[in-house]
Amino acid sequence: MPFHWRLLKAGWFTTVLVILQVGVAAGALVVILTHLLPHVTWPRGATVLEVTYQRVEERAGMAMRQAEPVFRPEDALLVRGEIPAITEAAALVVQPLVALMVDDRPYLVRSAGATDPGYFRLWALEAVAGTLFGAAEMAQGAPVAVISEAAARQLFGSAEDALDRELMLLSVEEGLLLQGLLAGFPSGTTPPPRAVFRVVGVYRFPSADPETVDLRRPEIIVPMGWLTAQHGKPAGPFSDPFADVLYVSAPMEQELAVQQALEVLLSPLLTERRRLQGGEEARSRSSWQLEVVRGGQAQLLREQHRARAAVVSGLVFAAVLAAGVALVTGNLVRMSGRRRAIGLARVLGASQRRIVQSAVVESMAIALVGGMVGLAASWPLEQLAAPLSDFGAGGTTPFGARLAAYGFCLVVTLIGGLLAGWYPAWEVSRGGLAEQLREEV
Amino acid sequence: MSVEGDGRTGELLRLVGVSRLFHAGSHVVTALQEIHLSVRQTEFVSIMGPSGSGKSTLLNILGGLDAPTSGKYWLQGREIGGLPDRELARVRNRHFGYVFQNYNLFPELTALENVEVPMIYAGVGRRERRRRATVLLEQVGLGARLHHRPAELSGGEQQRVAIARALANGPTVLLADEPTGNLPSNQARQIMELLTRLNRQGMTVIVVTHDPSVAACGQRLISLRDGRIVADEAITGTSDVAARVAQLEGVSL
Repeated sequence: MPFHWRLLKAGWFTTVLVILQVGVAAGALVVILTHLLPHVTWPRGATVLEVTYQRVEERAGMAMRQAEPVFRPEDALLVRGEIPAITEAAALVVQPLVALMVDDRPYLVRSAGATDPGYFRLWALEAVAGTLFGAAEMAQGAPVAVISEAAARQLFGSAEDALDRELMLLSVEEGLLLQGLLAGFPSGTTPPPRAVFRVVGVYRFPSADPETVDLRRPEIIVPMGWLTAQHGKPAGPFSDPFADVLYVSAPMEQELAVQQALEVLLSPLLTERRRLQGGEEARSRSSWQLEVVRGGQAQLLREQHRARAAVVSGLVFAAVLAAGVALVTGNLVRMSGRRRAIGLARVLGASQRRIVQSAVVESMAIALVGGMVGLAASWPLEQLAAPLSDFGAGGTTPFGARLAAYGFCLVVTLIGGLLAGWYPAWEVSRGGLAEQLREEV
Repeated sequence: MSVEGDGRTGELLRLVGVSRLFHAGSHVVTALQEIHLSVRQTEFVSIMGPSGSGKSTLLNILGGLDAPTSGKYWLQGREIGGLPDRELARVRNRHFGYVFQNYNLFPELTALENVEVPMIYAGVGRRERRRRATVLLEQVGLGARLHHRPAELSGGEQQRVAIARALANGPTVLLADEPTGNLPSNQARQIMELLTRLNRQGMTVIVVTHDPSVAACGQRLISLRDGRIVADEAITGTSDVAARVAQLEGVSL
């Protein structure tokens, strides 16, 4: 219809309401997308396989499984050498719930581990302060440690403050005593000596998810070389020089082949090692199983992807639906209010197609303005939503993701404007002309 | 497309066997029944009849605002009954000028802009349509009211804007549905003088009215009752019309 601006001005209140509704929904859409979109990208590159040697024991009709420490540091070299698809490998000695002392104050951390520098590369750990230990520290058996960013905050206040500070790791028994879970040491026994380490670096997992707690991810990591240098004597929480887990990384598309190759390579080796270690009699009722699972980053990311994709899809759908309903409702109200004017326009020579085209252009313009309002509103909305949600905990949103969210939001509002403009105009303009002219305004 | 009622014979409109039924729930209301009608160029036709006789329905069908349930309709020899919406919109825009009892102006637009609207749909350029709209409004005596909105004009002035708008694209036929129905007598007289003048200038005018004095402005009176044409006769004077009205309404004078 001609003179749209006049007609829009005449119904300005409805138009402003629709723009605001679309703006709020579009703003919400931008907030959702900018905060969650970076987290739902499909994982690419290498996958991490977690290899454990499980002792399965029947107890009261139930199969109890426990990962036994059987891996040696050289196993990582072995699998890398024998299975070409493996790009990185590292053995990890891990001890959960470790008690420690810092400046004579006791603390409890999720876990402590001993490994080699391959572990850092495998998980793509980033040093946020200091450095991650390397081959030299491994060879020397240096008493150094790298700790997680969370542990640095917990123990020292910040990553920078943690550097060059000392950690005293207690033995498991001392830790239990400290927690009140052990009344005292049996007479004539002394706990293993404490182990003192100097913090040389603070690390962060690149895909750190505050909601995910993996007990096998050590908060404190020391060189496996230091453990070897103890010559089998227990020190701190580490009583065994054998590793609990062997991590390997391989291209995702070769994941299955690597899994099979690991079973073929390691099963006989570990069976022989178990035989040499002895203790077969006591464990005669147990069976042993090499377990290779996608227990690493890929699995985690996939699960996160699925969950977040579902959340994002739901929220996006709700926001788009809200904006669409607002647009359709607003357009229906405005078009119904113009039923007589539309009838008159048709009497004077406008075809139904022309009426619908005009309405669609008008609706798309309103939607676009609403979308722009939404983009402008997204920043304050983000500030409002920040305390209510930890979606943004991963850090600042990359510029590209933000730009993609803006683009997506505008495209969605334009498509919404098109559909929401078409239907009401078509509906209102399809009646008989004589009836439309008789319509009371 | 069949050709009938050729424009060369002077015949402009032709209806053959036109009926219009309305469905109201399970009831069927016959608004028009087997209408046969021919209108020649430059005629001034008045259509009268009691309420519910089908006058407005007939005018709506003549103007392409409604479609007959059955029967055929030719305009200048072209059958327009089955035209698609786009073509029908073009016919309405180029061939018909409409004047309604309640004026039907766009309240948001000025007199000038209201007259411009049909020209927009005809694709007339902005400058040309402004010029033509100004001329038309001056012709109907509203040269000083170009930029007034309908609410700022009297009923008679609004109806004159509507007439100027109806003339915007140089229509073939001017269709008026109770054009003086809402006007005081002096303004009604002015409107009818305007329509008569247009007819004398060669415009075909078809008026639906209750008012015998309005109908008497025409040259031909078509009387409807119960959806049928009961009389189609030449008008010689107001008394003829009044007598016909009384006859239609069952009143003896």
